[in-house]
Amino acid sequence: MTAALTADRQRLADPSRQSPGAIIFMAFRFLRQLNIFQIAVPFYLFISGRLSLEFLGLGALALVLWLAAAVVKWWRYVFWIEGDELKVARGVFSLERTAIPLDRVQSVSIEQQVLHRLVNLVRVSVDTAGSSSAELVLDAVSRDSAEALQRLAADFQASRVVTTTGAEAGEEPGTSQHVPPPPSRVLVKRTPLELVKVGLARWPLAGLVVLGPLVAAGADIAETFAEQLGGFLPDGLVVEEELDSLSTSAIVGLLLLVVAVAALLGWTLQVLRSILTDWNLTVTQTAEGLRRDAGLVSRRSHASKTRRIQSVDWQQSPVERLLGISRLRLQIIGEGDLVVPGADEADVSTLNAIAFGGATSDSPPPDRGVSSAMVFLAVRNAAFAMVASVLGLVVLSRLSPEIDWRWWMVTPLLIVPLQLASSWWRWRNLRWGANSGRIVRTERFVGRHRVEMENIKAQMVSVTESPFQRRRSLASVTVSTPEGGMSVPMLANDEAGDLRDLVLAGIESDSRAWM
Amino acid sequence: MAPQALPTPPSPSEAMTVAPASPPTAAFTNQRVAPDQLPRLDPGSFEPVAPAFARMRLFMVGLSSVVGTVLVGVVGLAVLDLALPVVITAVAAVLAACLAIALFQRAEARRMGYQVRSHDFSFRRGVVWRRVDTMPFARVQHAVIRRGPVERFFGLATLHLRSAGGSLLVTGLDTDRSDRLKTLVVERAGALADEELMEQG
Repeated sequence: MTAALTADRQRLADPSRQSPGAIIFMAFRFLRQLNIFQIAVPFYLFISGRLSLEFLGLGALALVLWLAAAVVKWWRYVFWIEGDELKVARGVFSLERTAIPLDRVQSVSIEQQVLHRLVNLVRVSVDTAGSSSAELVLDAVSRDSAEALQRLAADFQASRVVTTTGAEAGEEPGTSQHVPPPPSRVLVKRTPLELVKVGLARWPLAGLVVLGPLVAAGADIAETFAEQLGGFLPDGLVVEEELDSLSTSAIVGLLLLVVAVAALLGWTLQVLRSILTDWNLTVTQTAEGLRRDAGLVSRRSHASKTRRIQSVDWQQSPVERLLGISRLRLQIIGEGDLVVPGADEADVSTLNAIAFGGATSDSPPPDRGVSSAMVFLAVRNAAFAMVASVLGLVVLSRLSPEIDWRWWMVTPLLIVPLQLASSWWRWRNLRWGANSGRIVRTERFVGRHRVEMENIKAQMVSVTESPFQRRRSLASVTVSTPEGGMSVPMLANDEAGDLRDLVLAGIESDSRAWM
Repeated sequence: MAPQALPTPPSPSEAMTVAPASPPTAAFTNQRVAPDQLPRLDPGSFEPVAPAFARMRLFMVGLSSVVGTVLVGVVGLAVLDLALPVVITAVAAVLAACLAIALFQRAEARRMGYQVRSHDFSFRRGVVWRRVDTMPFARVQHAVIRRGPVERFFGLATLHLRSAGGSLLVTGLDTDRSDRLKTLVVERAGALADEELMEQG
C-alpha cells in the first residue's frame, strides 16, 4: 500500500461526524420528504392571516424542534473506515450500524453544489452493487475526506489479491500481494470554446420551453397591469387594432422576427446552460473505471465502474455533424448516466473501447434491416386519423351553420404523403446487427442515433406480436437492461426467434459478472 | 439485399467448460459451435397453466356480471327511473359484454404457458397481443410466491421473478408447482451466482 493510501486510511480511521454544515442539508432533506400539501396548507393559512397566535407559536416550536432534530441527527451520525469496511453508525432512539465492504463499493461520487461551495464542503454518494440508487450519502464533508474515501474505494476496485506460487519471487506459497492500480488518465477535456459549440449545436427553441410558463404568467400580469392602467393608455396602444391594420406580409415578417429573437434567446440560453453545467468537463479513466467532473456553479464528480455501463448511446444532430461533434451517453446503473457532449471521433472511439473493453466479440456491423410493413403501418395509421378528421370537419360544416366549408380543411390529408416519406426514410435507415457478444441498432432520420450493448447486460428478452404483425408473420424483440434496453421492431418471426436465442446464448454462456 | 443468417451463437454448455481466466475480462474466450447444438425455444413445448386458472378467471367475470347487473338494474329503475325495457336492454348488454370477456379470458388462459430450460424461464401470454418473455436464471434477483384470497380458494399461486431490468409474473400455477418452480429458480440462480464469483476469483 502506498504512503498516500496509508495516510487516507489514517485520516478516516477514527469515527468522525460530517461537517456542522451538514445540519442544514439534513434539515432540508427532511423538508424534501414533506409533500406539497403539507407545505402548502400551513403556508396558505399563514399568508391568508387565518393562523392565530397560538398556531404561530406551535409553528415556531415545530421549527425549533425541526432544527434540534437535525442537530441531534448530525451528532449521532458518524462514519469511519475499519479494516476493509466503511462503517456508519446513526440513529437517535434506535441505533443503526451499516458496514459496507470497500470491495463492494461500485462508485464514489463527489458533488459540490452552490451551498457547498460557500462553506467549501462536498456531498459524497456511495453506490454499491446491491442498490440502484446511492447506498450512502454524506451530505457535507471536507473535500480531503471525500477524496480519501474515493481513493481507498478506487484502490480496492483496481487492486486484486494475487495468490503467488512463491516459485519466482521466493515468497511463501499462498501469500497474497496487492497489485497497484493503473494511473489515472484524462480522456476528455472540454475547453470553453468547445462548450460554446455544444450550446450552439442544441435546438435553440428547446431552452425556451422553461420560459413558457413565465411568458404565460407574464401575459396575465401584463393584462392585469393594462386593466389597471387602462384609463391612462392612449387608444393607439390597443394591440388587436394594431394587428388588424397590418398587412399579411407585415404579420409574416413580424412572426419571423419573433422566431428569430426567440431562436437567438434560445441559443444564448443553451450556450449559458452548456457552460454552467459542463464547465471544465473532464472524463478521467481511473483505477475503478471512469470519472466525470464538470460544472461551474455546482460542480459534480461522478465516478463509476466500467462494468456498470449497460449500453452506449451515440447521437448526432445535423448541426453537430456540421461542427464535427456528437453526444455520447454511457448508460450506467445508479446515479445518472455519464454524458459526454461535444465528443469528436477520437473521444467516441476511446470511450467505446473502454465501455466494451471486456467484450468477447467485435462490434457487429449494423447490416440488417426490418420489414417494410413498418412504413405501411405508419401510413395506414396516419391516413385513418387524417381522413377521420377531414370527415369530421365535413360533418361539422354540414351540421353547424357557423362553420363554413373551406378548401384548407382538407390540408390535414397532406400529412399522409409526408408520413409516407418520413417513415420510408426512417425504415430505410433503421439498421441493426447482432453477434454472440453484442447487439447494435442504428437510426438515421434528421439526426443519427446508435445504441450498442453487450448481450450479457440483458436481463430479460421478450418477443411480442401485435395482431398486425401476426397477420404478416412478424414480431418485435425487446432486450431489457436495468437502464432501459433496446428494441428491434418488425422482424420476421424466425429472425426474431434467432435474435432472442442469440442474446440468451450470450447471457447464458458468458459467466462474467454483468455488473 | 437478402440478409445473411445471424452469426452462430455459442452453446451454453460448451462455453461453460472454458477455464476461468484471470483477470476475468482479459483472456475470456467464447468458443463457437454448430448452430444445431443451441437449444431453441420451442413454441410447442410450453406447459399450460393449471386448469383452475381458467375457472378462477370465469368466476371473476361471473362475479363482475352479477355486480354489474344488480348495479345497472338498481340505478336504472330506482335512481334514473327508466322504463323496464330500457333497463332490460342495458342488463342484456352488460351480460353480453361479460360473456365476451369470459370467452376472451378462457382463450387467454388456454394460451398461457411456461417453459423451463436448463438456463432460463419463459412465459407466454396474450391472445390478441402475444408475448413471450424469457428470463435467464443468472439474472434472477429474487423470486416471490403470491397467493391472494381468490387464488387460495382455487388452489393457485403466482410466481414473481424479479431481475434488475424487469420482472416476470407467472400466473395460474398450482401451489405445489409454484413451490417447486421457485425452488428450482432459486437453486439455479444461486449456483450461477456462485459460479460467477468463482470466475471473478
